[in-house]
Amino acid sequence: MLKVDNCTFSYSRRKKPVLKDFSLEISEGGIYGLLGSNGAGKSTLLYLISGLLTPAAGEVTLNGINTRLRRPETVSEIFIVPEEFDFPSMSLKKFIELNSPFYPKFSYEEMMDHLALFDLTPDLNVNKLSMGQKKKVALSFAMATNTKILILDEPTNGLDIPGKTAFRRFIARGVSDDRIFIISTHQVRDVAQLLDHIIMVDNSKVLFNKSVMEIQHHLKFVETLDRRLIDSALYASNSLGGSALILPNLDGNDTEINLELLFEFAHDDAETLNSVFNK
Amino acid sequence: MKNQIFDAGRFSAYFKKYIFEKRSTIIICLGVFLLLPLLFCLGLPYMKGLYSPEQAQNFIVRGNVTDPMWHSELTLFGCMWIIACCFCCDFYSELSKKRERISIFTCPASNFEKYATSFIVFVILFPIALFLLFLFADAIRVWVYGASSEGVSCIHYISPRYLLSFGCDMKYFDMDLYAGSVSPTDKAAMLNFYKTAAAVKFSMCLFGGFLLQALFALGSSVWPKKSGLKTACFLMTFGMVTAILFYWGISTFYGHDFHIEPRDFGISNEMTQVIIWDIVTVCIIIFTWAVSYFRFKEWEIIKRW
Repeated sequence: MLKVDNCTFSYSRRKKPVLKDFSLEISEGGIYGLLGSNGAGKSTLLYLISGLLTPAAGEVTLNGINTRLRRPETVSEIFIVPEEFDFPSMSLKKFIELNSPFYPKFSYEEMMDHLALFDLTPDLNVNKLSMGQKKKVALSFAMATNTKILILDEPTNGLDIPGKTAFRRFIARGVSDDRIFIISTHQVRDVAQLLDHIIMVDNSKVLFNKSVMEIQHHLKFVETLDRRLIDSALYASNSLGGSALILPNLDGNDTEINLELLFEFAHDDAETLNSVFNK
Repeated sequence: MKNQIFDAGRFSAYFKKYIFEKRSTIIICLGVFLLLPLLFCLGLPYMKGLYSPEQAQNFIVRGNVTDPMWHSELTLFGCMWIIACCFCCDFYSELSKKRERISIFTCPASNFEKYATSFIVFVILFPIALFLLFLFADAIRVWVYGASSEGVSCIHYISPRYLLSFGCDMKYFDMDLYAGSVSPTDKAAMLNFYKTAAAVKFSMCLFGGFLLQALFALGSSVWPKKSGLKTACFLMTFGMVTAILFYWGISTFYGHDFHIEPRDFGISNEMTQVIIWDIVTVCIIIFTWAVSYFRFKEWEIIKRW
């Protein structure tokens, strides 16, 4: 179980904390979407989970072990693909040979399958690839490590259109009951259909934390010009097709979640949104 | 369940990864360790005509130093040893960029294994490589000049013992220096003096080098960027300020005639004084390495100071 326990973090003593008394628990496998405005602390949270930053207060634990200690047993169970990264100057085969021994569950065959999905071959020099290609290689390696937690920070940044399609297939392949994916992104349309769980953060707090099933069970997302529906909506926003609405799901029919609208609702009135789930 | 501090398999995997990723830096260092003495060993005898028949005839063997190049080579070796120790400013060079910090800290090796890898490379392997490549450069000197200077008998491979002792081994001391000119008692006292002086020189060279390694490695853990320059500036400034404050303090409170010696603490034997200084230096070295390790453990991907 991954637990963020009352974490407070600031980049500098003079600056306002990015996260304050922040708590979060992730216990089951699935794909978690981490959404938030710029500067909300998404990347900070991911780095805290990976043990790359030290919280001023609180701790992050994985199965009871503080991730900040960076013990091999926890670090080998968490793989993060940051938004920006560099590869050392070497061939991909050498990179795999040097880095795979650290991950006991690494599968070379899976790595080759993932590369094929992204239309890449193993005979590459990883340092000489474009940003999008580097991202594809990093994602392939990350998935092949079969770590318990896979953290992806803006994974579709730099991917071309076929790459984004391949990314969705790629993630769907790697899903299992005991594996946790945490995807932080602004490009919600790229990942909306993949997510099992939505976490929204803002102002150093968790605004909203619910599974997709719960959201679909309690809320309905429609686009309409119907005045009566607009007046009775929990939240409404103008859209090209009329008004995009969030309504209570009274008839039990699931609708596709409009993540951007849901985020706006959470950002503007998280209390009302969360109260719907308490009924 | 693998040991979380040290596992042989994981350590060897990390060591291999480290060496491969730093291969260009390592090759450049080894290149310098070989080329510099090679140029020196081949160039100096030619420039000074050391192996010309006239000069070679006039060469007198003193204190088992059987080749006129040895003294000069020893000076170069001493300088290169100090420079090699200062290479420890590169100890944590991977921490200079955020992306590289992410790569290091997310690698599932323990902090100790990562630290030990750098320690083995910079503190053990580099000095060994310096020594072996220096001997190799010297061997090339002997082959080249041995083949081209026929009849010259003073071309010999440098003694490894001479190098490693920084010329302080009493085997290389000129025992005939005062032959016939002083009494046996005075000669014994002078020999004792030179033994002590040799011990002091050896300690300064060896432990001074180790201390420099530790200090530059610590500097690298604080300032990974331009570490050598920043550490050198800090050490010089710190040394000067300490010396000035110490001198001012002593002269203010005790006057300009204040003088203190180890004898004042009951340590009259000079060799004992040397040994005590060595122990103190070793303790400082160990402490500095420990601080450097704990500083490394505290590193995050952002630089707070």
